[in-house]
Amino acid sequence: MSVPYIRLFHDMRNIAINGTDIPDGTLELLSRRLPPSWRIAGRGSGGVITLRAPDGSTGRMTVVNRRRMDPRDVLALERLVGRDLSSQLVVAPFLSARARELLRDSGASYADATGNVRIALPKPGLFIEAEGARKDPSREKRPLASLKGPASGRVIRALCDVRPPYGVRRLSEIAQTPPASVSRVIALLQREALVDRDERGGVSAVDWAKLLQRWAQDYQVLSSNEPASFLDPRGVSAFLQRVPTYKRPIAVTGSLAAVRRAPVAPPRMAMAYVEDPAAAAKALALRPADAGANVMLLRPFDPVVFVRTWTEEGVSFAALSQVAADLLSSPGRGPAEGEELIAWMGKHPDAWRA
Amino acid sequence: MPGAPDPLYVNAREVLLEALEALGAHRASLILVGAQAIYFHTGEADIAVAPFTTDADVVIDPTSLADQPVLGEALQASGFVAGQDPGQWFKDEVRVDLMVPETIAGPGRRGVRMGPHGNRAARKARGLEGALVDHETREIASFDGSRRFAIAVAGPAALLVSKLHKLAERAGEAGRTKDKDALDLLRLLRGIDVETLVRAIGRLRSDDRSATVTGEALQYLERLFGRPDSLGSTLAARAAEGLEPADTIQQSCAVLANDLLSAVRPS
Repeated sequence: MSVPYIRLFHDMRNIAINGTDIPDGTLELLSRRLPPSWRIAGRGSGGVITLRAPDGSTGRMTVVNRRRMDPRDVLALERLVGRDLSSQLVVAPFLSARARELLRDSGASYADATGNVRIALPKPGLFIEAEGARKDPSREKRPLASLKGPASGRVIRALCDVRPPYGVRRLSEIAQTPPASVSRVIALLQREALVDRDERGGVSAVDWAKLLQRWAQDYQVLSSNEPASFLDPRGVSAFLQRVPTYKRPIAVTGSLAAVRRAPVAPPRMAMAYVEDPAAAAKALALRPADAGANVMLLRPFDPVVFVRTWTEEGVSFAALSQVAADLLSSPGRGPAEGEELIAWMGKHPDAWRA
Repeated sequence: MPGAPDPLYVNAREVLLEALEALGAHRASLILVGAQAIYFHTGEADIAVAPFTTDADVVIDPTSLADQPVLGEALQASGFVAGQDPGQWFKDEVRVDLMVPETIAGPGRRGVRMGPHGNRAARKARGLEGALVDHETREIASFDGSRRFAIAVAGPAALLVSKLHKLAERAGEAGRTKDKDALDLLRLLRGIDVETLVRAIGRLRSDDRSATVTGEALQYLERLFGRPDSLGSTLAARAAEGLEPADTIQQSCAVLANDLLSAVRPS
């Protein structure tokens, strides 16, 4: 029989890294599920477990203990052992609904650390099935590795725009983000020493300037959002003058916003968030630009870009925290302008921070 | 951020006001044209160049010009010095050009024969005819506000026509085209909406004095600015170098020129 090397390796991985002992916690959980007067009689060598019925008869199952047992691993197990797994007890920290379904189909017994248990012993006859967790609890606990996503963006914007202290619940309201996601973001920021937490888990201090710089490492204005380039043949200022006539949500960002506060050069490129760039371009009399674009419309990574905006001369500008992150992650002189803006924000916290 | 006006521009405005003061009695026969008139309408028109010009261009309508005081004498009395060519007057290194639209300038090669005013006070120029038709009285003041005069200022369409004639006339002559003239044209196209230009161009075309030069100017517009790589578009981009990307300027020229051309063409 020829087995592709990759497949063989995949199968071997599961065997190699796992033992045959049932972890104590799972064993105890299993024994509690047994009917009264059934016992776990022994854990023999070679990963065999023996169950004893009230009448003294015993049945044996081979333990397959895995750190992970994904649905595809069940299929791999079948290839190793055979389609009939009725003499196998699969043990893992967590078994997904799909993995359990596949195990059931092949007659296997199983037990995970969350309480998903199935014992189907033909002789002496025993059948137990119990439900544990539907979601892998370790997945929830796995630390957040990046600040790319919309939830991170909303939480970071809230941490910058609103002064602490606040608890997770309050922050979750400000950021319009579930508390679990807020906690994960805060945990990452705490690891990176960008926020301080009090003894009750709330946020007591935020280094917002460093936080914006850290955000801009993962968030990129031109790739996190969806940009489209246009030409306003009358120039960037003319575009800005037309913005108040646009009746859908719009938030001007980039140097056109920064120049209102910080000493940055006159902008050559207008940047604005709109829900639908094509429709907005039409309404704002912009031309499609193959070359010479001077207006960039961005479909936002999240509606948070329209939150806590400020208005001057009828023009709605993105919050300065958003503008700063957009500049820091822009090409060309954007990062330098972002630094200028952050310096201004540092000197005038009352002008932008609630 | 736009700062204080360029000192050269301030000085040019001062000299223009001095000329207007000197020509006080004839002020009703004068129409401001050229770059100073353009900036009057457009401000900066979003090109991040401080608008400055060191010359002042003034059209004389000889049909309403009184015999006294004599133009040259009045200017000389105020410290202006006649230049080499007819119509050139200098003060503080600023040049004031007095010009008469060719169509109504009568015979003569360059200078205009203006009776008691002589042949050298003003010069003939083609393309300025629109100023006689399209102008309005505005108040022009020095930057410090110390002096102000009411004077007719040529309308945007008339200025567009005259700039196009100037560019076209010089397009064939190496070294005489000025990038700034092309950028001034873009200022007009950017700063004035199409409907306003179309209405005024209609008036210029229906007036015998300006109909021909206006038709010519629209041909020049297509030839000089109709494409991003046309001569005028590239000159404008060069004038805005370092302030706006060349591609943006060139594309803007072509888009706006074609917008206007398709709006004025009979459909």
